[in-house]
Amino acid sequence: MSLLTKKITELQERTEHAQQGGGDKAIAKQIAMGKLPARERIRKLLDEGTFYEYDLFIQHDAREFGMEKKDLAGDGVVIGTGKINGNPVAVYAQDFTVAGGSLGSMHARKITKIMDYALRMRIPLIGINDSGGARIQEGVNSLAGYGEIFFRNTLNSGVIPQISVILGPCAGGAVYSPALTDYVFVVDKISKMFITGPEVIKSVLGEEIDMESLGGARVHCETTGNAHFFAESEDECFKQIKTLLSYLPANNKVKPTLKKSEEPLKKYNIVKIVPADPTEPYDVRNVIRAIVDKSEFFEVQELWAKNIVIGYGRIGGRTVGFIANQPLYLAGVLDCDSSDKAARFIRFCDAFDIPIVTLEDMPGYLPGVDQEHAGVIRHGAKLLYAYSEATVPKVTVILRKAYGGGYIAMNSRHLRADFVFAWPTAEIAVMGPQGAANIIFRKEIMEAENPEAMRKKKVEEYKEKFANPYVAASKGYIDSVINPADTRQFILQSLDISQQKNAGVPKKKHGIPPF
Amino acid sequence: MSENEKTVPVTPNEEEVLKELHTIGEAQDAVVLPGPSFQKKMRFSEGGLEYKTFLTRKFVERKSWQAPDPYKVLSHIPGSVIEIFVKAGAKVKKGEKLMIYEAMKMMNVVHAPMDGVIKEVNAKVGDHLPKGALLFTFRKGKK
Repeated sequence: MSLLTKKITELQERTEHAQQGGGDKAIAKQIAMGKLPARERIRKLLDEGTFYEYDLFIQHDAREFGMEKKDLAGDGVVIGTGKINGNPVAVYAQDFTVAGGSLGSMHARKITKIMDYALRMRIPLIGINDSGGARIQEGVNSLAGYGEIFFRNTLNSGVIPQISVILGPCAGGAVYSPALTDYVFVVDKISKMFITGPEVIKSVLGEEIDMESLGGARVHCETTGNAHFFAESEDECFKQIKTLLSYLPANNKVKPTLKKSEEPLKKYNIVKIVPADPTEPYDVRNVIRAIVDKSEFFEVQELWAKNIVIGYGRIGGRTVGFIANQPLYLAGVLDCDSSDKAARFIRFCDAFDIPIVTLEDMPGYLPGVDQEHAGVIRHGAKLLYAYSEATVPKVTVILRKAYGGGYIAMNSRHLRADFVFAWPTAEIAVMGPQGAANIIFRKEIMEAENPEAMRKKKVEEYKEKFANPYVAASKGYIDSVINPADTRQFILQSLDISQQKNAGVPKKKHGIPPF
Repeated sequence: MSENEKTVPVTPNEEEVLKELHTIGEAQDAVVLPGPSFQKKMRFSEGGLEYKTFLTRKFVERKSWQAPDPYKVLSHIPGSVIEIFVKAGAKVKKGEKLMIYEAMKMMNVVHAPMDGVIKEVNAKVGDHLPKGALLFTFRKGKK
């Protein structure tokens, strides 16, 4: 055997050993839990044969508590680069089979290396989280590792898309990396996220709750809003990631891939979707489908704050971010959660140069003590801030109701919308006819012989005069009242002529958004 | 019971309404309240329009607000009762120490919010309590 062959054989042996992860037993256990091993996950996520792994031979450097004798393959995390939809991405995946995927200083150094790489190469970063948390034996070095990751999440924010995939436990401080990234993917029965787990909660507080109810996938998709995409299986989750990335640019200096412009499907007939009676509900996602190419709409945070819909579609082949009030739920009101949800989405679109289309149909803000005390003022302000700050092309279409503060907040002319269109069914006014008539004509109603008849008469009068798009149109607050059937055409041409938009904002270090 | 296991009663009449609503959208996980009338209507102001719409679970399960009772001393944070200094019937001055309450690694002192007589001690040493648990009740009217 030549010296070279010997050396190559040694490399192969070392590689095989390191790629065993935690060994057959630990891998069998991982699979029994319904989870894939780390490298298998990466292989399924990336285009075939595109993965290149780095830092395979990393060793941990812990010298206390008998750790010096432990051999932890790759220190419990796999890092590398590959391609998705033919475009480069950087990826890391924690390996639960190695010391429970616990995060020590070298483990963290591998993650921060690939994060730095992603930033330097200006490519999206995908992190697969599956870890028991801090490696207690490494003490404060483990905390330092988390801190270095959080700092980079913040530094990378708005430069490259950052995606977190929760495929196992992600507990304690570890949850803050996903929370700082742009999109969090979870899988039913597999993902678990919380700051303190059920055992600590029970011993400290006496409250009993199981892991799934405390921080399972569904909870984070429906209740907390921490996660953006819910999947039944890991395979479905990887498909969702690929679809999301197909809409996004690689970084904040390039455009998303331009596709061929295609017409929406005939079955989504925009004129038939929206009832003219403003109290009748409909699914606003069908309006979006009637507008976008091939009727393909990719919804974000589908299960949380359902009274507002956000997501991506294409118009004329270009990626567009949609924000739409959803009359199907809570009559499409604005509240704490829906403002928060839409505001963050707007900031993402703005950072990555994705035009924003807003479809408006909402009766106002949700009344209630719980809303006021939950801070609907400050949460609502996020929406105003995000729309006002955004300099990407902004188009608004008012379908029906646009009342009060909500009218201003939903990308009105006053927040520098580039184009505001209204359907003939639009009602743009300071408040609904009933409320307005009660205030304006209080005296006449009170003094009338039949107050109820007078109230009705005045409501009708107000409705006739003000519950329409023409008052706002007469002031130039909306640019055109359009035939609903022409909606796609109007949006398409608006985006076409906004390609060189220059909003010219004053120079500052940064604004101070209400969060 | 986890979020997804919760069953929501649907009366026959409402089932029909639901079916009708489903045909106009892809509502999942909508909440229908039990009761004699169709309650999926929301009103926004007195005399205002009623909108037909689904309610979300979070909205239906929201806690309604209640005015605080000044005669009740509640825990302000989840924690454990370490020591209690007063018994029922005790006369206390505003600011007097009532209890040591351990929470988040801190020994917090619970002080009397007013001059008065303790009607009931509602917690005992060793209790692990959530936020908002009743600790003491003052006798009403007497200050």
